[in-house]
Amino acid sequence: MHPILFSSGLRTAPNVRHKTLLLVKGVLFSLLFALFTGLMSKARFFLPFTPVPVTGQVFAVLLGGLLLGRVFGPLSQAFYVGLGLLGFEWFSLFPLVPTGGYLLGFIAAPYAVSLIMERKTATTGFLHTMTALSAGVFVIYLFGFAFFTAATHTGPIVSFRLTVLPFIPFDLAKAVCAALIICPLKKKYGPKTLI
Amino acid sequence: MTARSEFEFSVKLSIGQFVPGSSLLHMLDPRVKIVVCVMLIVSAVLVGRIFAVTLLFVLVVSVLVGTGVGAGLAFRALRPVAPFLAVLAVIQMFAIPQLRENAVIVWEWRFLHMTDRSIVSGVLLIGRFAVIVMALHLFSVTTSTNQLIHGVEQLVRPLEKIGVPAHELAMVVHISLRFLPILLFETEKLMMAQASRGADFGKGRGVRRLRRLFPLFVPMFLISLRHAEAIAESMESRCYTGGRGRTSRLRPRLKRADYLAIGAFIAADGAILAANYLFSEAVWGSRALCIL
Repeated sequence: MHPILFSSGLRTAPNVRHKTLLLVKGVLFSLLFALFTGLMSKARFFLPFTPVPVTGQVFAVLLGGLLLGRVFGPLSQAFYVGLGLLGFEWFSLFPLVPTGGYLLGFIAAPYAVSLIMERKTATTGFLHTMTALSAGVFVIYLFGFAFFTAATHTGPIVSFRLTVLPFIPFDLAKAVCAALIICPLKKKYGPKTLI
Repeated sequence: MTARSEFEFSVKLSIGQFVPGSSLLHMLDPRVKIVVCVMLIVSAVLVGRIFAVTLLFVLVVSVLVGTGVGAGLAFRALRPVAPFLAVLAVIQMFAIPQLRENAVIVWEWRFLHMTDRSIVSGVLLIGRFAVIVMALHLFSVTTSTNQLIHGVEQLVRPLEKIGVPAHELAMVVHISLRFLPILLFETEKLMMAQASRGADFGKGRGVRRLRRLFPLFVPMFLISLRHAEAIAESMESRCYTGGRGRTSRLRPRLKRADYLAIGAFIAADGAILAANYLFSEAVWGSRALCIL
């Protein structure tokens, strides 16, 4: 990551109020993160026993929560879902199939991640980041599981086996990846987000 | 051309293009169109019977045809997503376990089962998708960006009292619509430039693929940071000071036609939703009827 990205100060536009730049920068970065999520969703594979694919989206969602904060993290995922509806062919999970709950979870998860990340009282460093990311993954599961159960009328135990259990190791691996990327950056530049 | 296509994002935006015109839909207040569009999407998600989805589809098409927008324009939006949709529907039919006690197995081959319920859910998926895409299309074809932004701002303004930032929300919509094509174009350019120097975005899975994307996104973030500073500066130099106290030159008022349109739509949509719930198994007792 480039150090300039973490600087909240202005380089070329010293006369601009911080709030205006914050808004514009936030929107543009959210769009980029939506694009990033879309590209990550192309890296996916299906496990033979469940209709839910393993995708790289979760990684992008978690990273979005860590880097964009609690307003623009969810916004970036809302852009992702919205662009998917507008005809971008990147959604492996369409909101209407029973796996659509995950998409709602993607919007909510960055909020949960950044909410915990912004807590000053919690332990700092890798453990703290992992706690935040686990909360994000939990939120994604919660939405995915609830939506799947409601849409397919399967029992909660079967649904849990299909929508949550097989993905825990994969998502933990993604969370560790995200934490390994973010922790050195946070150590170097402080607890700032990109915006 | 085929070799280049993996870098081309902007051509994939098939819907969302405003087509200037003078149809009845073009004349309606943007708020009315936003409400209609949202209601159509919500009811497409809510309905669970094939006949109800079909009725919703007929409703959208008849609105598009009846107001002179033309159905050809609407079906154009469905064409690029159709193959993808078919695959999704097949996955839906086979991979989702329909563990309902009263499902009848229609076709079976080794581990593949097709039940009547799964066929219905596959068909429903296609129907819902078609309705949602057409509803979004109906809205985007007839509403210019300016109208959309005014519509969003005015629609959300009553919620300002409970802390929803109406103006900022409209601004987010505005900036994202304006800069999405630019960012896509810049990404394409960057990908092509990197590919011409030997980068390979096409192959690989998982972590390997991810690592290839990072050299792309760092310069993209820097480019958009530069854009952001330029936009912010130009906004401020045109005396932009945020939403407080800001007035608008265009003040769309709801006319009689708007009230009539929204009334007629709510009546039709409500009737379809009511029919959807009335034709349930409990009321009629007939299995074939309730499945459809």
